[in-house]
Amino acid sequence: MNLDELQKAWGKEGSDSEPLNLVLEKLKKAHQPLDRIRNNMQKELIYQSIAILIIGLCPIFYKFNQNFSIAYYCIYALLLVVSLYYFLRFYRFFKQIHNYSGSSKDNLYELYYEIRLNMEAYKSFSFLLVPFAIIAALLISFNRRLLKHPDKPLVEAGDWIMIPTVLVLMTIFIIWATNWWVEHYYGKHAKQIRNLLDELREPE
Amino acid sequence: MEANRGILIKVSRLYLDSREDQEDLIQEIVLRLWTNYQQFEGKSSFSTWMYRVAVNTAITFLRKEKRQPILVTETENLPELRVDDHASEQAQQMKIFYKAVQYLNSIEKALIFYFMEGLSHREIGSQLGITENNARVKLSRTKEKLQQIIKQLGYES
Repeated sequence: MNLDELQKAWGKEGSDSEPLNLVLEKLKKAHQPLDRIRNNMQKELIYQSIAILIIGLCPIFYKFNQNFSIAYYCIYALLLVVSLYYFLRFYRFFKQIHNYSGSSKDNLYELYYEIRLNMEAYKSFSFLLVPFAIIAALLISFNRRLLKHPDKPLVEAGDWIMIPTVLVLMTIFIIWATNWWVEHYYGKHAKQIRNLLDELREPE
Repeated sequence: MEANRGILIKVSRLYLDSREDQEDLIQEIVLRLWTNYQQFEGKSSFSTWMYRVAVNTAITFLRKEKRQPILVTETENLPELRVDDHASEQAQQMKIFYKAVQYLNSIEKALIFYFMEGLSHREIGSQLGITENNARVKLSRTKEKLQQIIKQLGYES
């Protein structure tokens, strides 16, 4: 087949088609990696916000004493402030309009950068929960002990091995789970764009 | 927009083979044209700007049902294409051409699209953000690959 000759037929392509039928409802569907990531992140952040609000009720559920409640809410206040910073950051990311009118290479680099940057921000936001979860877990378990045996010392002999071991395992699990989640659901889009960028490299 | 609708239709047919996906892509390109219109500074013609937005949107377009953009490199054992004997020679060729193009990756499709639109190597390079030489080499390889696919589809002429 001679592609040069086919160019004449190509020029006529589309001339026989019907006028464009644009449906606004269809335009809302996410067909771009960036939009899909935004949609998924938005949903997950809503669940995370609800979880953060529920976590704030822990002292009531577990009947914390006054000292434990003060300690818990001091840490909780810090969690709220940092979460607010991340939520504002992600809000800007959701509202940002991506520029598709640059060259394809620039466009792909910008997309890749946006996706990787927000993946890392999303990871760091999730890691932020680690120290808070550790302190909350300690306060909950100590509070239980205090309610069961108010006369016994709070820290027992076996705790010096048990607590650090549980904390280290918990931290490792949260980091692993976050990395897996973000790479599995968002990393595939970054990888696809990276492959496209490799296609545009100079020939060796 | 209506005057340049041929660009939208050609890009959508080149990038996707199902009618439904093609319609989705056209809607998506129109959305990007609307949201990016402020970026159009009038330095180039409207159609040149439209090429970029359309091709950039198509390159990263994700189909429904979690189907990803086609990134086919293996072209062996392609199914033989049945061509309607009553269709005109040109129409038959276009049909085979569209079928064969589906086996190219997104960047190769962009190269073929700009070539078919009659852009020079320098212009193709500028649209894709690569050097003129790179555009020449890649286009030449893509045309060769396309010819091989056409042969494997059972059409030799």
